[in-house]
Amino acid sequence: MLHNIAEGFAALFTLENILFLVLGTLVGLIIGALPGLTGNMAIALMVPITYTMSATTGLTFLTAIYCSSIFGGSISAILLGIPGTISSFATTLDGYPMAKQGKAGMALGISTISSVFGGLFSAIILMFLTTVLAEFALKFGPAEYFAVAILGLSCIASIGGKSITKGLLSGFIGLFFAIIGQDPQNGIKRFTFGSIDLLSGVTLVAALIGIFGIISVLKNAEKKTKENGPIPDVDHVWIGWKMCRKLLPTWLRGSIIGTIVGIIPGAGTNVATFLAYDTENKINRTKPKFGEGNPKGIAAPEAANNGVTGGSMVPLLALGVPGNATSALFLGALLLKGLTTGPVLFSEHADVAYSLFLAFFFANVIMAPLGLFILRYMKKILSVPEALLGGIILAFCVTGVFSISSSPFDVLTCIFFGILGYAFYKFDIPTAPLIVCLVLGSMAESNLRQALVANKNSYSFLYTHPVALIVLIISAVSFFVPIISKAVKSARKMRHPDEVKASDLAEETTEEMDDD
Amino acid sequence: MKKILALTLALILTFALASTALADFPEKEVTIVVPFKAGGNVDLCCRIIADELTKILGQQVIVDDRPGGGAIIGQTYALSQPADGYTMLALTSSFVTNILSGDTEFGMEDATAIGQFCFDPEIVVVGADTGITTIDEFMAAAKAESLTNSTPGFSTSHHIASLIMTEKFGLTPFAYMHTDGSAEQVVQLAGGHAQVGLTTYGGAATLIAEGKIVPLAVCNTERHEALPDVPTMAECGYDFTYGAYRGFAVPAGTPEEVVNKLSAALKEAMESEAVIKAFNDSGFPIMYLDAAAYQTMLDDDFAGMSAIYYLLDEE
Amino acid sequence: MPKKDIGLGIVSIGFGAWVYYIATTLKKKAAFWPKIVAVGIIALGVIILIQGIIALVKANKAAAAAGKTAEVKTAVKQETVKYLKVAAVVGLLVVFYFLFQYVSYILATVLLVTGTSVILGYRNWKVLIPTAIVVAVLLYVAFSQVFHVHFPGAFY
Repeated sequence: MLHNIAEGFAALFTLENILFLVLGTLVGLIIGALPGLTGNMAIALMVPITYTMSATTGLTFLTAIYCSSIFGGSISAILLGIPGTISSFATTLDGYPMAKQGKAGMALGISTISSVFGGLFSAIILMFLTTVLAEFALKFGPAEYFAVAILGLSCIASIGGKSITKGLLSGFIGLFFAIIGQDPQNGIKRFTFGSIDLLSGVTLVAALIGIFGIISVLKNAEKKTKENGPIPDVDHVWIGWKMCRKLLPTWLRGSIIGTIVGIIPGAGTNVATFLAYDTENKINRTKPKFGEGNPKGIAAPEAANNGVTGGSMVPLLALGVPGNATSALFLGALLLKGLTTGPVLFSEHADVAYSLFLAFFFANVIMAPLGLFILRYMKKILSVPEALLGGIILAFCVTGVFSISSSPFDVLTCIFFGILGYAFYKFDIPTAPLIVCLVLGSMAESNLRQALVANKNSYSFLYTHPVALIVLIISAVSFFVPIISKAVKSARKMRHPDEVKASDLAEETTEEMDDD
Repeated sequence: MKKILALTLALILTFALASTALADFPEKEVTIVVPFKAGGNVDLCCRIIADELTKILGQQVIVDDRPGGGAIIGQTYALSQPADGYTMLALTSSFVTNILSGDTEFGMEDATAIGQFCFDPEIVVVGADTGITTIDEFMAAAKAESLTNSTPGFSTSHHIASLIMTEKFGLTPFAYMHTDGSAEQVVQLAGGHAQVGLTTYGGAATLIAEGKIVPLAVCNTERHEALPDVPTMAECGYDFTYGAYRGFAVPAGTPEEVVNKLSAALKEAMESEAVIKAFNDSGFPIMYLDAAAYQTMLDDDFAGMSAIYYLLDEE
Repeated sequence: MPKKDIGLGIVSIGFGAWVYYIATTLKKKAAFWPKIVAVGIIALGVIILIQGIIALVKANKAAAAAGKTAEVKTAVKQETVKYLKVAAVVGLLVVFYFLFQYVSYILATVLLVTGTSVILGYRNWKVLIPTAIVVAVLLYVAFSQVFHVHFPGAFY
């Protein structure tokens, strides 16, 4: 392992990579801070550009955007009371009140250090857990992979936001789009309608750019433009060692919650932030109260949301299952470079895998100084009109999509998925399950059919392979538990209609911007 | 009057263009269309060669990746470009299988070969825990019962090689597990989920070195440089040669002088130190064939494939 | 809201049925998975439909009790304007799709950037036009020179 880390270091520390690490962090910070623009959108727009880079450089760039956009979201959450990305929604609860009390610098300082702490924590977990898991998964055959794909699919029940049914519908529509093209076992054309453009299926990156890029502009089109409120002045941001010591337990709890939630496929960043916030709220004994500007109310969600970043990469890198929309984007970028995820990545391209781990680590380190540097220009950045950005984003989307394989059809795919995503939004259907299933669909089918071949057309592998059986049982549990707990919750609500928890807010906001 | 003027002008222009095209080709940049993803084996080979061709031809040679549609999109695009030699197609066995699949608008007659630069022979490998160590043991086992064969995908050259082998030596048809790419294919063999596979050296090198999969024989006329201890099929008494071939072609109707010039340039490139080193480093075996030899080889492959294509449909 | 869900349920059932129909025309091995997906879509459509109907019945009862029907017309008007804007952006994208392939990438992009920004409510022409031109030219140069993308339009 040490040898691999050294190799990763060697691959990561080139002038080009460091340049893109810095550039990616700046892009992420700015886009993350701009309300209405999400980190996922930034990553989607940059995927075509990474196509021409080396795999390490491209992934470093995307990693830097991912980590810093999550942190960037907290800047506008604190200064404007509007979360720059949905993952910073919980941060507004205490961050904005604190800024209004004239302690904006302090609030930003806390969010910076908490984010870095959470990010570093998860980067370390990512490195160790992934390699262990991948080593284990090297023995996996089609039966086990089929079970893992089913686990990923069953988790969509929990991403579903308000309605589990609609979450599942979104997932099944994703499965449908995954069918298009030549079938994975016999090359039979399905749903191609004679078009050679559809033979190899829906282009994943084109669909993702449509869903993340185009849809954000369409949503803007129907929304009335709002003027931002006055931005408070930022004084010194260093919070002092005493505060650090006081917040350390909060950071640890937040990071652990964030990383674990990140690893679970489908759970999403905002689940983690509200869980961390609620936990701290319950055990807090310091003043002021939560919701009135308590430092812990910023530290917990910010440590948690950056904790998710590393965690969410674990299932993707170790098993090839993207747990959330962002990791689906990373998968798209990896596939473009001809790399496969899962255990094979570690045996074939250990340098790429380890340099990605290290990129997660260093992206979180340089986030702090760059974040403080960019704070000075934040007022200017936040005053860029959204309307002007809309057109530029669209131009970027279509050009980027076209550039990948010079295919006008991909441009059409991208526009189509933008419209589809907008329709989903109008019908309160979450898009995250669609994206995850678009990737998992062929994995599930192909492995099922391979397993059938290996077992002479008998389904006995479902119970004769212990690992597959255990994973399938976990899938069943993870599918039914949210459904039951939702039923219980709504029953309780009937009896106590006044009780509102922060975590309920999470569900309501999911629907608004579920693309985190 | 105007019409005549326009006509003469057009004529002069055509002649001017035609004569210059013949006289000193190339006058502008040459594009190699790769119908596969960037970063794949074919793309890597072409980029190495393109750099060398740029030096030889004195014009920029660029690689244009147009993946998708099982390579049909890129192939259709390249063959529908003007037949002037400024667009070359990276031609692999998928060209033949695509034509046979009936999905293409082009046929064998629409492409003129420039030359082959790489031939990657198939290697018969088995999982270490099968206990099979020689090709004879393998043949006996494969005749006795249906073995599970893992391929890197349906209708890939590895899959087709397995089908031809089954026909030729009267094996019990394999049960095929079609994975996604050669890396996954060999992992399945190493994990004991499938028993046999035909693969090329690049994808299997790591696991062969670790002893998790065992190479039995090379489907070529000579032994593989990296595997000097592994016999060829012919040495073991089986007449079987198959592999993934890569070469270039241009749209049919390209002037002969241009074809010859490109063919010669390719030969020069494949003999240059830079290309030899880069190919060796990446594990691509060089095997140059000139235009005529490559064309013959393509036609033979087409004939051979036509004979067994029904097997693909049957599956 | 419930009316929307009823519509969604019906559309899902129809879509699922179509997927199932196409799947029946495929070979058996290849049809198995699409059929599962189709059945899933139909089942979910039925659930959404039923949920929608129940919600509608409840809402009607509640409305009948309160006797409220006003305030609807103005809201409808605003909704239409909203959707017109979204449709206009989609229209611009389609125009771009044809224009960049057959005429000119830069022209198509300038049109896309200006058009979208105007639809989104930006009116400062002095900033908008130069921005659009700069963005278009920059993207063209970056993608054609650095990334070697060949744009198919007749002019740049």
